[in-house]
Amino acid sequence: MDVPRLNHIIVHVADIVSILADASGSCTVTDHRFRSVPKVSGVRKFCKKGRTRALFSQLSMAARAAENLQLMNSQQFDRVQLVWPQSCLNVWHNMVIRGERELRGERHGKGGRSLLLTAASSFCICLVFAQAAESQVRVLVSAGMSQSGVVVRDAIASPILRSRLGRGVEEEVTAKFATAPMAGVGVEIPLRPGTHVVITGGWSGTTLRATDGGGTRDVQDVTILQGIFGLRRRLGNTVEASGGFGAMHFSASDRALFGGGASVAPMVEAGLGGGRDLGGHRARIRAVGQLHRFGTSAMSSVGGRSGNVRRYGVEASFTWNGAVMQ
Amino acid sequence: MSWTTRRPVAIPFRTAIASIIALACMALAACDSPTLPPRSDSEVYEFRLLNDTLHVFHWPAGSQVRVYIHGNRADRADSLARSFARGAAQWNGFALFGEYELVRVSALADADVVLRWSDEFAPVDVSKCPPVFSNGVTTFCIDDLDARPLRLASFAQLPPAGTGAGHVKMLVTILASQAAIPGRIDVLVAHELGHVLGIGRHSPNASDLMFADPTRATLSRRDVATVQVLYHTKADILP
Repeated sequence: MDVPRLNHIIVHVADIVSILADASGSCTVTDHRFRSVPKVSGVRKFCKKGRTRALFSQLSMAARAAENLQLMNSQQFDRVQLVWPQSCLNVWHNMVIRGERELRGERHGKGGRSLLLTAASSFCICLVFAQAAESQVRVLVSAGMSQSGVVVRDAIASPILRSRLGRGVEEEVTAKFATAPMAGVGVEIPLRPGTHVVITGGWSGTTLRATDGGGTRDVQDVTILQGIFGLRRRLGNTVEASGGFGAMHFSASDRALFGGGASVAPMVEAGLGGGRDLGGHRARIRAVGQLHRFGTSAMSSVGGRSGNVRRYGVEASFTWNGAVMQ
Repeated sequence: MSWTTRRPVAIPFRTAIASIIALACMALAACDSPTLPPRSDSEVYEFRLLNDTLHVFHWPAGSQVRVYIHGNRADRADSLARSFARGAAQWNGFALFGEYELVRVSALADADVVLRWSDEFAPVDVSKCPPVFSNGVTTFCIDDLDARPLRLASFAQLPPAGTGAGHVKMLVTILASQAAIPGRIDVLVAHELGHVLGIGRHSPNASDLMFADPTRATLSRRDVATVQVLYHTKADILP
């Protein structure tokens, strides 16, 4: 039996199963329709659970689905994709997670995440929501000040060029982020006694400052957004240590060091501080150190190399219902 | 069920947390900072002005260089403005630490530089510092050769665009007949903007924008390296 014929049978059997399942009011997941079709995997459509539908409605929609399926099959096998039908019986219940634009031919790309990334994100989500389900999630807010180490170092001229031009050439230019306020909001979820998973999103508005032979000057304003997934461990009643990883995004005007934009940079964080119960809540203060990658298109255009930037800060945070001695 | 009553897992959490913190501390200690490589001797051509000796001119670090585009007819002024926008964007794109920024201004009184066609009267008095005829030329004069540091002389404004003293330091003149050559104005304006920024000489390499008779409107690696070194070399001529 040839492959198209086999595909045809598989998708029809799958469709009948879907229709029967849908008629019973259960959720229909129709991605099995696509498994037999090369390069179109990864489409998932969910229907809301618990919908009670009248049988005659199901039958009419089933007829429409069958028509759609025929159209879909012919489009797939003929590689003509002018219109991609919604294969779930009720269009309002379709929620395409990913891949539909590729299937419609509107977008060309890999159309999916790597298996490792999917597994990692799924693990994190499961970890968080399994705990959240036990109503242990607590909200925290934080505020503080931060300062960076050297963001970029420019050596200007080679020794030979320097000797040619004389003493007037500056030694180097360095750029740093100025001391700036930072604020964050997040959730903490107990993992086991004394240990919490802490997920935070943070903001900092700072200024990039360059220092050279002529002094220090402001170059441009930069907004830093960050997301951190971390663990915090209580060491005794007051002292707490934390560590985490995440990503940092820089937003600035399209000029100077950020001409051409900057990509999202990975980061790690470590912190040490103390906390105190206030009523049923907990207040903390901690010193935090971060290390993040930094590199921009403008740097690359002149042969620059990305590298690690250190960032330090002190922050105070407050967790609702986060007291240790509850 | 409360988490406090759970069966303990076998993973030694204290050790795990300590390990994470130790790793983070080790990472924080890493010193692989982002760097820009030093420009080599072969990348940078001579940019110093040659008078009796070599002089360096550039605008003060971090300053805006304000350019007024003069044209009696709107379409001709627009043509210059488009070329200026392209040229300025290129030069500005390599001021990585905000050393300079070429910007357009609409009033002569605000301008440091005037950009104009050769067949139109200049809006400033050029009698003491006349432009030399060329396809494109940037004109400026030293105020007092005996003074230290040296300073650029200002062009007085003429009516109707302005009156009296201003702070126009440079006059860029583009030969009007060059407009007949497609793309030529872009090349000439971008080249003259290099002189405006302080590159006082021409590149010996024909593929550079700052070559004496440039053929390309884009900056080469040598043009970029040269202007970046220029702005980190101490100037002895001030605007």
